[in-house]
Amino acid sequence: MKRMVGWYILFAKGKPRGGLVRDGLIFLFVSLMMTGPVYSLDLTTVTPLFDIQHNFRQPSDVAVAGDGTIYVVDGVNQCIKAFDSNGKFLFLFGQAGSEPGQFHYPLGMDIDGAGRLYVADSGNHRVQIFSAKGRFLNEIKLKFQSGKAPDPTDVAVDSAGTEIFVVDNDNHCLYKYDLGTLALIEVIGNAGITRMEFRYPFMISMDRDKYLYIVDVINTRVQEMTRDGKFVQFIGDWGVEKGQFFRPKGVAVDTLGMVYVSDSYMGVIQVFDHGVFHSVIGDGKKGELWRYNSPVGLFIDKKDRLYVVQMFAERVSVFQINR
Amino acid sequence: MHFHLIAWLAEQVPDSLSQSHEAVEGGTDTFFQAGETRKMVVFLGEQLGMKQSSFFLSRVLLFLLLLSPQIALAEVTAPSNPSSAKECALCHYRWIDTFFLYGRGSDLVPYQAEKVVAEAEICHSCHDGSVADSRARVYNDQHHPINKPPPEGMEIPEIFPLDKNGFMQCATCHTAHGVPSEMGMDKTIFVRSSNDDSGMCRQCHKDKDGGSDKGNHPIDSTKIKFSDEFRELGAIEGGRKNQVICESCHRVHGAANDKFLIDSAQGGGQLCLDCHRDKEAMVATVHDLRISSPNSTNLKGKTPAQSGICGVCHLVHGASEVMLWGRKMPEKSTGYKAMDLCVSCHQDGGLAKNKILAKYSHPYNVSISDKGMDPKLPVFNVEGRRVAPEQGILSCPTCHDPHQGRKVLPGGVVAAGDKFLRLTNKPAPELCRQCHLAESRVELTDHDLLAAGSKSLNNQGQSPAESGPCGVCHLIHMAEEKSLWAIDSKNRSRQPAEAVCLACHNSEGTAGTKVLGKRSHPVDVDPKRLGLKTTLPLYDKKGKKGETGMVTCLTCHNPHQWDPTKERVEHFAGLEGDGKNSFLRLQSASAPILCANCHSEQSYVTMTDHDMNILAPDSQNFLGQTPSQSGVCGACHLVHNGENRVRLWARKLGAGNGVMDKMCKSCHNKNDIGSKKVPTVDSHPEGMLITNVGRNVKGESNYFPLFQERTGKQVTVGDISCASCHDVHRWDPKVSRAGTGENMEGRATNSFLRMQTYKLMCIDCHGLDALFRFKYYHNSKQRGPVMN
Repeated sequence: MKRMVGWYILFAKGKPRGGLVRDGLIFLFVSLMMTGPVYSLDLTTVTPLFDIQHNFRQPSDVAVAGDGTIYVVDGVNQCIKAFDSNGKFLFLFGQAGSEPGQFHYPLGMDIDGAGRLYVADSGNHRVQIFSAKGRFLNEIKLKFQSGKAPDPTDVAVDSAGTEIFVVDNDNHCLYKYDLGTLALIEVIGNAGITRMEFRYPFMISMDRDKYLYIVDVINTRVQEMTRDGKFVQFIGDWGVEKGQFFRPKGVAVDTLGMVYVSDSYMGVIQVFDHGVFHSVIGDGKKGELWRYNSPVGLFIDKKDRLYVVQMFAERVSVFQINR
Repeated sequence: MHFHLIAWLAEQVPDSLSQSHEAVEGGTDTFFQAGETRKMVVFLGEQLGMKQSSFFLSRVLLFLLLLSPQIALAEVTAPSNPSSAKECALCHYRWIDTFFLYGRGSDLVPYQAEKVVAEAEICHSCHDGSVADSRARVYNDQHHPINKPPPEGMEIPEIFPLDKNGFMQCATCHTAHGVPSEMGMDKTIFVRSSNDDSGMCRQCHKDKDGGSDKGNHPIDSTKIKFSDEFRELGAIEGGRKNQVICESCHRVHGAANDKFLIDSAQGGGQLCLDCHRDKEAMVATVHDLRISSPNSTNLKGKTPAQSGICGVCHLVHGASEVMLWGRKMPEKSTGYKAMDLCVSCHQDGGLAKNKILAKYSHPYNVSISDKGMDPKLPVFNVEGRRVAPEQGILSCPTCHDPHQGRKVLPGGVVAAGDKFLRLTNKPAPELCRQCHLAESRVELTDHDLLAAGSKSLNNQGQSPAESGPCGVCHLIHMAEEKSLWAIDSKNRSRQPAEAVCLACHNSEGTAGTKVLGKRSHPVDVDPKRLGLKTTLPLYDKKGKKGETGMVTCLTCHNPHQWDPTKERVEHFAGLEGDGKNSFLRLQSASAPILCANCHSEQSYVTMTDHDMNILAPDSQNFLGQTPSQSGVCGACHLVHNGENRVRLWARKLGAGNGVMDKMCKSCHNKNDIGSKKVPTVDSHPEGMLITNVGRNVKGESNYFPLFQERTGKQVTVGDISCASCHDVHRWDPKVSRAGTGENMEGRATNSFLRMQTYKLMCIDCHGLDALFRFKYYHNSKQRGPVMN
């Protein structure tokens, strides 16, 4: 749902000093030349369902299984915590360390159709695979890139669990692995600012059609690409205006294919439709955008529930996206 | 056309200004969205000299630009170079054009007028793992404070900027632009000043520097080795090996503990124990005030649970100057601060009021060095600082280590332990040994009642197992008398230096099989009065040892050492001794060193024909000892438990009228070892009332003693006996030394004759007929056989 919420005052900064009437006329003229208001804010409204707070310490990502089980990466606590679909705590797994099943400040996570969890165990330079109950299944040890340690921050896995894309934050690239053989298929991208170049890629999401959306933090954009590593488009740009990012962090795709991008500093989640700004997550009742405290990881389940990890607030907020 | 106008305008922008504004590059690939266009117009307007009050032209430019759909709907393409303005505004949020150029907010965020670049949220927006992962190190609960003013009174150097409120922020210490700490780019740091050896910390925290003189834990010390575990916790050493710096204990970011310590100092004080591992034995002892006094508080008002086991007594910062003491000192100082620390609890009304110094104790506040002792124990000066042995005095912590304690078992039961002694005193007296090395040789001897298996108790009711070898006889604290004897002082009939021996050496005592008989070497006599010189210890009536005084048991015996020649303990309790050992202060066998110390002239008997070691090595005295066991003296004299009172004669008396002659004839008879030296005639006419006045002074050359027949005591009127003419201990009166070991035939000038005999030999009484008389009395051919 889109809704106009107001006009922006073009000459907001102080009163014009040279000819009020003249400036007013110019303003009117300009306004007429445009097809709508100069500044407007469209909202995608959500209904808050519940918050999950469970002694998190800077949680970073969330993934939801088909049965509704919510998994939260509680990175500073070096574990993954599981909750039922109502936010009730179920169990946790993992502890500090480098042994299988242990973590060193994990960050991102994804889940496949079978409920297997794929955790970017950043400090251990690997991706660990767990069963839905948290049992360690396997791991992908990432290789050093030109002597620099890999820094996996997030993963995206297809529903069938055949391919996984791993974001290497420090090396500014992605790895594509075959989950059947755990073999590296391809290194995608490198450092830079043009297409398929990244500056600190962070979180990644895959849509139903296996298009990938990578948050390119310092390039302040999201890059969309195919599963073969071909560039599709940029989403968003630098700035604080709508459709722009200051610190993009999380990305998720809803059932309609709309792309949701969190900005941890501005505290907003913007929605893009085919790469074009569509709206901002907002409160339908108040007609205001929804301001989050450092939103990072996002997830949208098949019921169009939006899960937002608020890292500084150390909580996960769950919303129903209104259609 | 419009695009060309903009391009032309863009070219007019001075390079110097382009650094602070977003300059869009890319030629025909560059496009401006609506917002970008507005920014550009305002920006260009500024560069063309327009004042903010004359925005008219800028608005016209805006209008013109908006007319170009070609520009507004251009495809999004990637820039080929990063935007310098963006690179700055990535942190300098306020510099984003929306705020900085247009002076407004956006649909998404409000206008940002204030500088926020230094605020934690900006830093965290990258350091949350999305660029760098500082989640644990920086953004946990324990870190250097931000959003707060510095503590009152703290001077913050100008290079560390505070925010507009005077609060500390990330940027107070950090700068994203890098500061070269030394020559070379590789030495660039992201703090505002070099923090080598915690140099940056010290610029603000001056009150934490200065070491113990300032009541702070020493910094820069390298005395204690950093353990591997300590390093794993994140402890950082300075430029020198094991150099303590601020970051050895503190981690400004990411510490898991209060005061951003790398390990907890509360509870068990693990942080302190990471280095001071020798203090670990204090945990769960009575000095662990969490157990013994959980409600007590230190100088900062913290309970043991709050301060930690170490913080109860020591403050790492803000302590007193002595041992970083963190408790209230006693109102009345002992004058010695090292002692005051202990007394602060061990005093009336103190936490340890049941363990105070009372009655008599081992000397303290005395110089050990002055006594010639060199223990491996700490000594302290008046200020309580540990100093070199020759500079310090013995104090409580010389012997006690308050960190080395007894274990408190579950239920509060205190297990038998070592009373916080630095070294154990049982079964081996290791602590006492440090100063009293010679005395510690009592270990494993018959006098080590722990080894000897005695069940006796000292006067504090302690068994040897409880008191240790030394504590059987000596008390360290709470003694009833100054001498610190551990024996019961009541009902004591003998002076202390004897009584302490007799406490065991009596028929009912622990040493009941080693009881003194009636016939023993005299005690309680002053050697000086007898004309004897000795280096052996003498004792006064109070048992005080000295160079003057009386002979006691301890004059000849050293109860601490079984064998005077062996410094190592080789004897185990239960052996029968002889003249070589038996706790004698000096050996009496085979050489009569001990006896000679008083009876020097008598020791000349050694290696003469009267030395039984030579004459009759297989002979035995009353105790069945051979000369090699008893010693040369012991062959004829029994110091203890002999059968004869006179001269403590150790052999069977021979025939004769007087005891003096009988002693000689013990051997000098036809049936004994002196059978070859039996005078045919050996009697001087009796009843002659011979007087020796003038010749009765021992040591004089005319010494000519007469002896009372029964007692052998010297008299001035009596009969001549063998010993009147013979000095049985000296072969040649002119030679003041022992014999040569050769069996020589004597002459009238030696033959154990006295000087008197040599010089005057009867002449002074008998004139020129002396020879005739001698022969008459000693030559059977002249007189006839001697009647035995």
